[in-house]
Amino acid sequence: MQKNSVGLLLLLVLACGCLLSIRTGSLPISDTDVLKTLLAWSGEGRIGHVIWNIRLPRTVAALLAGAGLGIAGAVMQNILKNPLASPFTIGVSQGAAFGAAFAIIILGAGQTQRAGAEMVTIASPHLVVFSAFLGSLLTVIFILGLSSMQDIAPEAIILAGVALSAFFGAGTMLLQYFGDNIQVAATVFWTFGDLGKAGWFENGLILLAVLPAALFFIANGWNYNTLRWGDDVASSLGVRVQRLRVMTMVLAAFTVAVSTSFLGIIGFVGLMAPHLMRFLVGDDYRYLIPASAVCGALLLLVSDLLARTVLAPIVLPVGIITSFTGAPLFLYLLAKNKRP
Amino acid sequence: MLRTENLTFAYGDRLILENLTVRMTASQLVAILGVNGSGKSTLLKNLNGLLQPKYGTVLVDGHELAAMSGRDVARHIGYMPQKTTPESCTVFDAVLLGRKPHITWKAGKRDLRIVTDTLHRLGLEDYALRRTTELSGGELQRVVIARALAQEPKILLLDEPISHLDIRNQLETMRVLKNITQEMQLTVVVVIHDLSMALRFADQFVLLKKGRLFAAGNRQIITAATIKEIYQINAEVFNISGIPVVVPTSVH
Repeated sequence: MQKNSVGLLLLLVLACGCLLSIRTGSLPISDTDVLKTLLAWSGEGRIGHVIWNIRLPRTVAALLAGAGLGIAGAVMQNILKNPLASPFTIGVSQGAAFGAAFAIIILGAGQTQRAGAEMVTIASPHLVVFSAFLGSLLTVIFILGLSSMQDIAPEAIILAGVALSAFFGAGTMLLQYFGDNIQVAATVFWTFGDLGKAGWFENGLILLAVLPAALFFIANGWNYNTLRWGDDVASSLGVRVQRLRVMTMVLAAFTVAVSTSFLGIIGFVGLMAPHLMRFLVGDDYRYLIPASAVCGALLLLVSDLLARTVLAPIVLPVGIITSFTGAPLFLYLLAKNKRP
Repeated sequence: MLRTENLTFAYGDRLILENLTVRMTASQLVAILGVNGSGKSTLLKNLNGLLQPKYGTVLVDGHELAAMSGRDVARHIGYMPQKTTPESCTVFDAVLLGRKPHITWKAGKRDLRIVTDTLHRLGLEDYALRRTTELSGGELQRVVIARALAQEPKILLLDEPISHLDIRNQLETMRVLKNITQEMQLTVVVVIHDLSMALRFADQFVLLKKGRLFAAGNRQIITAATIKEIYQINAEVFNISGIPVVVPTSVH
């Protein structure tokens, strides 16, 4: 299939997914009402309120975070020369979880207890988000320091990510050990990736991180293609390899840090989206990067739809769905293609 | 023209190249010879700026290499590394990468034409849509040379281009290199171990010994005595039907 046809098809499926996402929920809304409310550009009335303040922010969060995770995964796999590289693998998510646990347990970000499905809610979400962001930032700075060293192999960064993940995991467990039941529950609740946490403000900040990263990555599609043939080949073709590697790491890690801080941990999207797209558009990064953005958005959107419908009226955290569907899918890809 | 002046390179405190002054002219196939570890590949990487000399300079057509941007260097010098692991893409796309130093956003008609011409020049036109992972070693080698040629360089640096090839592909690759040297008036510099092939095809020779220049000049400098000095072997140079052949006779 032609690459442009694949792109159009993906965008069409994504548009349908968006429509489905907006109409699905405890309040049934017809397609016509969805379109009317969107075109009216107003949140008035019951349907308007549900669409503009609840479902649309959630759908936009899925698009932005999914696209961000997809492109971050694609470029990380290239510059780290490792098909298993993803935002999740280099420890950014775990750094954020540690930051959140620190805010909840040590800084007393505050929790309240409720009955029912929403047993625990966090009373000071901004402090938790800020602390989670600092946790991601710590990981980013460490990885960045490693990336900027001249003689460190890209493969070593993955191993450093594994070590960092273990370190932050142990730190989070240590904090939980000293926390009370409610604090531990609040920490666990935060780590579940959940698109319901996003409003327009959060989406705006995620967009500010994703957009420049996406533009930079797409503009460097040729350079990523040369890097596939090795650093020496890329350098001999005029690519400033070390600079590209550092810039890519910074932008990819910040993109993920921002969305993880607001939405929690969402695994496998960053890993899966590029691999799925390689089947459809090949390894050419000029096409793979935008395709991974659309695929990441689609994966997260579909996962969120599943999260909201499989056990309705209970809404599952989307992170659980992405991991449940992502892991077997990845194993299938591994079995089908020995080299993913 | 490519020139080095007092080129010295070191990894930390370990000197690899010491005080090299050589001159390589256009339309010449230059063979760099020496034992393993004598600094041949390091010299090649210094010649295109992949490594920075500790002292001394590299001059490309009189311009100092260190003062040129990466893109400028890539427009003047094509490079083929010692090992190439094929990445999954078509031969056409692999060669198109060579146009990278000339492309800002999108490959234009001229870029596509140059790639097509280069494929034709190297006899790869029928392979354009084949995937590089499906090629034999000799075919892949030609694709990598084509990619470097698509850069439209004045200088082509090739690190052991025939080391992993069978005798037929060795001969074909060296013929291709000789042809492009003359037809395109390039300076082609090859690191090579096969003395017979070097003598048969190269015009100029640079002999390295322990990172120093042992000798440089035309084929007259390749004698049994210099071979003994460089490689520590006894050898005889024969001429069979006008083709020079180096036969090692014993280890010194």
